[in-house]
Amino acid sequence: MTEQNLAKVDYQKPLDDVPYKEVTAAKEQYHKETTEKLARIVGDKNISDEPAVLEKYARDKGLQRAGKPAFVVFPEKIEQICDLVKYANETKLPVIPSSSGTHTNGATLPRMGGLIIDLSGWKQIYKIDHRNRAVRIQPGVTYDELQEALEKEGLRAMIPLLPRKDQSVLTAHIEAHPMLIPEFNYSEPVYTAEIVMPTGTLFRTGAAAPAPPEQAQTDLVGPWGPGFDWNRLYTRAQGTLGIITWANIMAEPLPKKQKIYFTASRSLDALTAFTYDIQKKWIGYECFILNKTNLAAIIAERDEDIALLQYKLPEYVQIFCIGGLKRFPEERIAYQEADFLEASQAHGLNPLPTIPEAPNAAAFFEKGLRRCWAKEVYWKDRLKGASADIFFITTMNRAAAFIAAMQQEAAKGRYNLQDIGVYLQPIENGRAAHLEFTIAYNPDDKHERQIAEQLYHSASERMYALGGLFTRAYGAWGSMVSGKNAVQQQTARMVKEILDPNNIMNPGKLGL
Amino acid sequence: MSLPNGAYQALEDALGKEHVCDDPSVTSGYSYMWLMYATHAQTGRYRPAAVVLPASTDDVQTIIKIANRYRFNYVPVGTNLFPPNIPTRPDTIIIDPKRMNRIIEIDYDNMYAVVEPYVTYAQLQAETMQQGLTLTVCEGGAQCSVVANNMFQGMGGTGHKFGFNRGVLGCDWVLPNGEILRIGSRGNATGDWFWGDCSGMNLKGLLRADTGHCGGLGMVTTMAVKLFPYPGPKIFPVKGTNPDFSVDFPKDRFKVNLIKFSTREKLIDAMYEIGHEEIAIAVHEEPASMILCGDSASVEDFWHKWPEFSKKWVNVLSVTLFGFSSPKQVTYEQMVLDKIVEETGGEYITEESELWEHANCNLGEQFRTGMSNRLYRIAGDFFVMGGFGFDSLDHSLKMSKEFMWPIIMEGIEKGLFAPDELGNDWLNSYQLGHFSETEPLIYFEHDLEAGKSFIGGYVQTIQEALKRKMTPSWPLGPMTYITGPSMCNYHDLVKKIKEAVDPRMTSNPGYPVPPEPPPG
Amino acid sequence: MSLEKYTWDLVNCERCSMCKWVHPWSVQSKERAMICPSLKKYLYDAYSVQGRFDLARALTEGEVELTDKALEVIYTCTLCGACDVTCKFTRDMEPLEILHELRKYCVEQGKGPLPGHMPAVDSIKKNNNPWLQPATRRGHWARKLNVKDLNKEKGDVLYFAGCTYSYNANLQNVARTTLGLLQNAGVDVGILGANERCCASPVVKVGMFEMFQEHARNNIELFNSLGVKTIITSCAGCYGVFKSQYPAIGKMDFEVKHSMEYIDQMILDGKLKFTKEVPLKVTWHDPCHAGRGGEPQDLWEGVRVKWGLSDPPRQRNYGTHGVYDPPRNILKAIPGVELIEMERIREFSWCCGAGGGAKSAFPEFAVETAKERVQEAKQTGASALITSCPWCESNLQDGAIADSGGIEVMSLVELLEKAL
Repeated sequence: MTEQNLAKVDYQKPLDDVPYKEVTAAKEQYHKETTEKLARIVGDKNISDEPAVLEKYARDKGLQRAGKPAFVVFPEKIEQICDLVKYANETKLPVIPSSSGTHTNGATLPRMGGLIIDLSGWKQIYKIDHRNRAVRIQPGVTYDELQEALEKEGLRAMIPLLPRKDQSVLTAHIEAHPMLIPEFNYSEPVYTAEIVMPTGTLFRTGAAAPAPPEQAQTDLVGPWGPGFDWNRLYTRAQGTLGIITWANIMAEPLPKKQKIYFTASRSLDALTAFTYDIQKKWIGYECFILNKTNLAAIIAERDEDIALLQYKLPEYVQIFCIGGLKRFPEERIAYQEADFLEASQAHGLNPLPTIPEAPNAAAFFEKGLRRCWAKEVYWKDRLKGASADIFFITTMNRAAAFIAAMQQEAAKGRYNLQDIGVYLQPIENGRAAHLEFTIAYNPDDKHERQIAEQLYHSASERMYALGGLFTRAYGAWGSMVSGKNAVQQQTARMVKEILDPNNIMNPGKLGL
Repeated sequence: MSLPNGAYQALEDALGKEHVCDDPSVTSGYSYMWLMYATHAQTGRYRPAAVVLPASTDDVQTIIKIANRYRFNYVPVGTNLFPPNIPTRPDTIIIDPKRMNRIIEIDYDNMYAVVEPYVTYAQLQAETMQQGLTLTVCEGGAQCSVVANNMFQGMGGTGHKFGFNRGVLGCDWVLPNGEILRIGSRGNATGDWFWGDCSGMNLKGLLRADTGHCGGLGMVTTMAVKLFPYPGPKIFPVKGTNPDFSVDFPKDRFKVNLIKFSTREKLIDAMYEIGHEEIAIAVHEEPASMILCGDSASVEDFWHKWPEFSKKWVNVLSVTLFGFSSPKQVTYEQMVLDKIVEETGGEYITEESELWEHANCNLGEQFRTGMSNRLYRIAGDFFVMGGFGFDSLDHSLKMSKEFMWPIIMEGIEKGLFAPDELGNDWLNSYQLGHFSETEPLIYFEHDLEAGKSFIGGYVQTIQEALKRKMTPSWPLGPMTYITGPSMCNYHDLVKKIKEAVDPRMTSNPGYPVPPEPPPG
Repeated sequence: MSLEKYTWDLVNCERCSMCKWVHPWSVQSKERAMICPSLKKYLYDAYSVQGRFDLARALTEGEVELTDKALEVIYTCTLCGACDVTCKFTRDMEPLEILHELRKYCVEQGKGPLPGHMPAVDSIKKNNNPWLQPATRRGHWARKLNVKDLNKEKGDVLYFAGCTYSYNANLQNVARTTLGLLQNAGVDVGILGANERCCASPVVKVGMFEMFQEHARNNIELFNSLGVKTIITSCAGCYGVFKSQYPAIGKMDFEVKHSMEYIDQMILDGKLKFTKEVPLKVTWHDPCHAGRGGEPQDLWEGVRVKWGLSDPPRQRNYGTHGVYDPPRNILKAIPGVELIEMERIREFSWCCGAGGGAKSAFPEFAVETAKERVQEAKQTGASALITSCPWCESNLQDGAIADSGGIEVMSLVELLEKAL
């Protein structure tokens, strides 16, 4: 037998710097230590890493990419939030504040895991200051809770169109949701706020800066400064620059009496021209325009009535409310009504106290203008079960062009035009407008969802290219706007780095 | 008073020789303002090394880049009424925007105008009135730059309806690092002017706070400003001749009311109620000195009338009504006001009263000139002894009574401030009474002791406010080191941002915060 | 007086910039808001009275030297007095006096006036007129007129033609027509012919105060010796200096009137009747020296005391008592004439650009200023720009040429003559 020349087996084993077991142990250890550390800050009962709980925060009602957090905490004190943020800085743990129960735009979806600080339980209404028309609230206070408390004092808060029951009032204010009343003097409704800065220190804006509220000798209503306009900087920041723990917001006189008019037209331009006119007359309170899709979704008493109502209703309806205050309420309504009706004649329009095709509209809005949406399924979801919104700031005289472009995009994407809701909200007496398209879709139909998703992205790009100003740059819009404005992005990064050197706060948002 | 080698040449090459001047005969026109003694006491004063006249945003960007390259300082100005515009360091140029004087656009529908820095309020308002729009004119007077004033404070006589510090929309802002940051809708895909909030992070927040950055963060070269409806004649209805003007607005659409109260507390109560009823466009407590100087042809005339007038004009509230929608609005608002006056114990000064005569030009001052225009007349100079602490109407009254007037009285007793001892301020309601600030006015000669007393008093009001946990007056430049530590250390953040956008510290270096606290 | 006397003003200017603009209440448009021609042309603040205050202060305190550039800053001003009017809406300062004083300072320092001014100054010294014309030909404009010679006989009224109306062949008709109107109305009027002497306004405007004093004193003595009750002149320059500067030099036993005032009164008294219609849209340019510069000045000698009060109290000029209504009354009285006002009128009138020695030393500046006025006039839709000052008329004509014509520049008397 000849000697076999055996194959040579010579190799290098992969090296582990540490045995995998140790890695697993370290991961477990990290999780355990972090959990313990967080629990030490907020208490055992106020922390969760249960998959089911985390899953609730991993996706929202919108079309934005899901992203799971590692922990959810429910702090009870401001000091705890400061400690959480300080700890997060030590460990680079992302922090995402959340105050509303339902989210739609992806602002609270973790991009790289981290810690959700859920403040929806922070329900305190600290002080209703009737004399200064202000109310100081915590982040978890919802509209129905607040309006009820304010109405007892003859006041009301600024409210968007039929918000969800669990919508945080503070978030609606800080994120600058469009409010129904375009009055210039109501249009920046945050007076002062307290912020846990990304470094874990406390900061207060405006007249709150010199002392905490319990010590302050101010009424916490001076909104500017100190040093920069922090209220502006923090508005629409999606928690990327800190966590607001309370805000003192405007609480306006509740009308003693009111009168609502509905003005219908097939032409949006006719309605916007009329709206410009009455807004320059500086009359009325709530004033906005809905298309028939939105209007049907709102006023149909039963879900099955929506389609028929949508068919019957006029193309666009302007809803306009005149209110009378403490002294001579009837007289206030009378002069404004006369001027309103005179203007409508000049525009060839015919305002009516209700919508003939939907006589329940008057009663609905009489109550509904200052309240949350009461039914189980949110009005935007009634048509198809789910919806996604595209919204931006523009001017009323550009709205028709945006709508036409939206329709083109819908046609291209084979989306049913009739299912697009249009909401046009004048801002600051008509100086600008919030234009919102609602794309309804069936969440259980994959194909339909895909079509909606494509339309959402293509139409967003189109609206941006046409000059839509995406001031609330949620999700993909963040990259869309910042990618096309280098100086803005570079300056925003600089600010972010100064305020949040470890990029702790809601990283990955605002296109940063 | 000179620039580094090569800097002049670079500026001349960029702008043209005729648009750069370093001759002392010319630069001396930018070197003097008495009040800088007060504002620059700790930092000195200099004649600028040159004055440059850019014609465009591009020119400004080039100037700033040259300043960074050669390391010299610059101060951007508007119409140049502001003490911090006088250089605090020797190697400093002034960027004078005389050639940037265009009204680029007036958009009637969406109520805004786009202007460059050398457009004045008088110019812009004259043009907007032609279209049925107006804006609130700053207190420095209608001869001031719209852009500069909006960068500084943006306040005015009609702020009860048209707001304070709310006027800015889209802007082109040349940062000290030489980049052009487009604010608001200017940064959108189509570069529009109509809106001030930015997409993405709202960098409008860095543009200014309760005051501006005094040229310390570059230069805003074009700005869209908010306009408001105006239901009056296309040309300002002036009557009379210099200096005795009055206005003749149609009475069914414009109405001034003057109301006397027994106490300032009652006056404030009435201001609150007016706010709650959402009536009027201008609501001010108006001190006797301000009203009388508005109606005095000369300093002699003022002091001749003062002894009698000051006995009669105490705790007076001025309330101006506009009929935006129709004359019916004025009728309604007057009815509401009558009720408030009745409930709060006020008493109208009627048109038959001799006092009415003195308030004749009140509406014109509120609407067009700016209220403070004639205050120089009383003693040569004036300032506000620590007003501007923005919060509620109650807060304004409290700070005025508790510490501002006691400080003023010390100066009056020493003979340093003119003897207006009535204790009334120009106390203002902004945005339907949501906010307020008060301006206790002092009048003084250009006497260094009076100046010291003023600046010392001003700082004292800041300290007193902070001690009481109230909102202090505007702290300009070095004073930020007094307020910052008591107000969440905001000065550290401002300083960091200044350092980040202006790493070479070339943009009016002492503002908004000097790099180091001033000695002492 | 010297610059030091004005220290209070110089130190108290807070650079509010009212001096640069028409008073805000009277601003009607963006384009016609500025009131200072010098600032409009030269842009730097130094070329406004605010900047010239700073320069004056810096000069007196030795901070800067009186260089050629400083002289340019000081002399590129038409001394139109607009800043004086607008400043006084808010302040109690004397910008126009200080601008005059600055020029006096330049002369005292041996630096002023400028070379461009010297031909006129020398001519006044030599010929008693700034136009380099022999004094002997001064009365030639009236050679063919049958008019009283006040050198030889007495009369109630002296018609003072002034140098420009005497020598400028294009403008002499103004003097002849005016004199004819006065005679037709039965006014006991005469002239001085070759013995008339320059009012010396061009001299005082460039800062040569001593020379001016001498001329003015001689003129006052001469006028007083005539025993006339009234001096009438058609020249706004002469009128302005008689009204504002002469009273400080010596007692005047006569009153001074601009011919517009006299003609206005003649129309009111029915002594002047129009027989023809002149269908013309016109606009009126207020000459600075008949308008805001035509006010009598308070001869104040005093000091500033506490709070800046003047001791003894002084009367201030606000520019409102100039000859504003008479020309407008005349224009409205001429059948067919439609007067359309420009935006900047009366005390806020925009200068024609010729004054203060600007026409001789900085002709380009003078014409640009006139051009702006011509454009403002054209904007009204008027076919003719009417004025009543030979300097204005001549410079506005240059401005009209520079602006490619399109409007006729005419003297008021010329227009009036068409209706007779």
